[in-house]
Amino acid sequence: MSAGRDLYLVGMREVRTRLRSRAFIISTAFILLLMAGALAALAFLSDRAPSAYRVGLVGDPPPGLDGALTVAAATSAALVGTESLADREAAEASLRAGRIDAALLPDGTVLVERRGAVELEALLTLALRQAGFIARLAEAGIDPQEAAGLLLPAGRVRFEALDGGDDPGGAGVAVATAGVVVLFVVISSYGQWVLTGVLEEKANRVVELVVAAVPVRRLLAGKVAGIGLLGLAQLLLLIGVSLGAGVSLGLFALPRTAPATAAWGVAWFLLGYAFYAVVFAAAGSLVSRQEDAQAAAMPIALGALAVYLAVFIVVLPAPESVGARVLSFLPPAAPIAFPARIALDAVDLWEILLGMAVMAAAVYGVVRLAARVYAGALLSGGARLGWRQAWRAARHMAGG
Amino acid sequence: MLELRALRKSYGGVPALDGASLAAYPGRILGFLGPNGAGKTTAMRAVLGLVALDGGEVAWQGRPIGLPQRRRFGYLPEQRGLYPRMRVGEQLAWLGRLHGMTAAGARRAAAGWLERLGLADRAGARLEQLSHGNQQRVQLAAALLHDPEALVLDEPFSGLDPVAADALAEVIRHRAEAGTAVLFSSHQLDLVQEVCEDVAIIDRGRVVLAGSLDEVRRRAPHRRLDLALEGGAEWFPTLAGIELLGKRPGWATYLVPAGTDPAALLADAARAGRVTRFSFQPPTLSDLFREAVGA
Repeated sequence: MSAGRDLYLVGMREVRTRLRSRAFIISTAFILLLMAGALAALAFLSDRAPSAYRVGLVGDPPPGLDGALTVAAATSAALVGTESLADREAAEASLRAGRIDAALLPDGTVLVERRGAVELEALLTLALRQAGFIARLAEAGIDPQEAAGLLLPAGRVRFEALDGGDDPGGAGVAVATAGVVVLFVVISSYGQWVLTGVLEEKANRVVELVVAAVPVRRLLAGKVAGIGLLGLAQLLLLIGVSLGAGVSLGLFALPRTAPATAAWGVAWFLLGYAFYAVVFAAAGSLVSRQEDAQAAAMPIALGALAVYLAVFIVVLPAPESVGARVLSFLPPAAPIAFPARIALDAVDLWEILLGMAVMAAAVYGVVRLAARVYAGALLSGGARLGWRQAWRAARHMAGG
Repeated sequence: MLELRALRKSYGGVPALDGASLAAYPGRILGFLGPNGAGKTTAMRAVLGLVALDGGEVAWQGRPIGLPQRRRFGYLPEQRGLYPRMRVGEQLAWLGRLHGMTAAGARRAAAGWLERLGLADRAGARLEQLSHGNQQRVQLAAALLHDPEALVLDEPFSGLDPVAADALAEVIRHRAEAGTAVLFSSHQLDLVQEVCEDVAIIDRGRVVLAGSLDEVRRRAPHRRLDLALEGGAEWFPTLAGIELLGKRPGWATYLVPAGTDPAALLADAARAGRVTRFSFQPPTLSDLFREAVGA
């Protein structure tokens, strides 16, 4: 029977049982919450918090003002709501009470509490000018609705800077930061799932029955692939939801590099997950009681955390530094260092591809190593094993 | 035929298997006996490829065994265990598929076995929701589901009440009649004597006695003599080689050389008193076991 069928059977069992488990549902919700926090941080960091304004209208507003306000608001990614007010006194009272940010008087004057709200003033100036324009177009026989439609910007205005910088930084840094957090959380949480999955099978002895029918390596590969598939689905969900929400809520304008960053992020997730998952699996196979899970995961989790902090300290502030380059070629760090540098647009394509080749080689090596420890440990059946004992126990299983 | 050929395995320099060989035949039940730590479990795990052997090999139908053959085997491990949170029917079907069954075939077989074991209504329950006894039944179903060509059962009777043990013996006999080679280990010697056609006794990693039960009993160098004399009179045998094995109130058991003429024994005993009980038989499995392992 083919290896593919074994992998499918083992992997699908993982997917099915986990999709039903409370732990999976809770962890997905938790990560989504974390993402919401990251989005808030993003809005803060990128200084593009959504501005919401309320504008009071005294008397009959000029025709076309509604449409012009909508267009102006969309242009500067702000939200504008209007309300009708009886007279100037009512407008002043509402302004003082903070219920509205500005009031438009019948003579075209804009009443504000104090000057200096640059965005609002620019927005209203634009809207009023356009409303006047629409009114003149209406006089010339063009329907105001149609006229407002004509005013919608045809596309984003592109800026090119002499220093070559593409993004004003805010959004790029925020995407890189969020990416580092998400990749770290997803890789290490799914890695730990592999560990507990391996440990459970060993602790409740079912592994004895399974390994009698499926070679140990296929069991390992199927398990890692099944759990990884869930991790990938969760990651894609996160990326989709956060980008979609971010853009549609006007939290941030998508940096030009975002889709590429997301694609590279997924590729690096796969490499990073494979790397950590098999190491976690090997660690899980060395113990056989649930109580030992923490102790088994500790060294790896700590290592991953150290790498994560290093990326935060070294790569994010200076993505093109020597330190950042070195870190991104160290296999444990590469899966989060590279995506961060990609988000910051601080890496050339050849460097990414070289990094991936190095990482793929490292994954291959670590899979061979961990699979042997895993095989040796599972089949020795005993209590707690050292890495070296497990390695030796598997000396005859090289082909298995 | 399932053959274990001169299996050797040591753990940290301590031999668990030291050249153990035996054969289990299709359609026959082999009882695998031995004191604790003699190597029974190691030998059985080796059949399923769960032990990295230091030497020897396991063969099926004359050829060294590989994964495709092992998948046609059924296995009840000494340490029972299934996925606690997986649903019973789904779990059995999954295990069936691991053994090469089609999805539909595995589902059918799982439903059939649950029906036979009286668990049809629990197919949708998670394993951990079942009683211990019912979990054991599911474990047995996992070994039998795919109509295995050989069945390796490690202590299948341990922890079963007499009724459950009878039911299991029935299932095992049924499988053997269908042509399966059955190998099972046990400490319950009377049960083995009742269920098995063949027997193998392992001690310190070596098989010290093997063959059909009738044959090994017949081949034994001793016979067992149960003797009672009226009034509890004591017999001091004049014939050579007779050994007192144990005394019970009113009667005693002796080991007698196999070639001894029972008529001569009876005559000798009659000189000590009126014989009220005289039974001259091949040794029981317990006798053979004690002798083989030097207990």
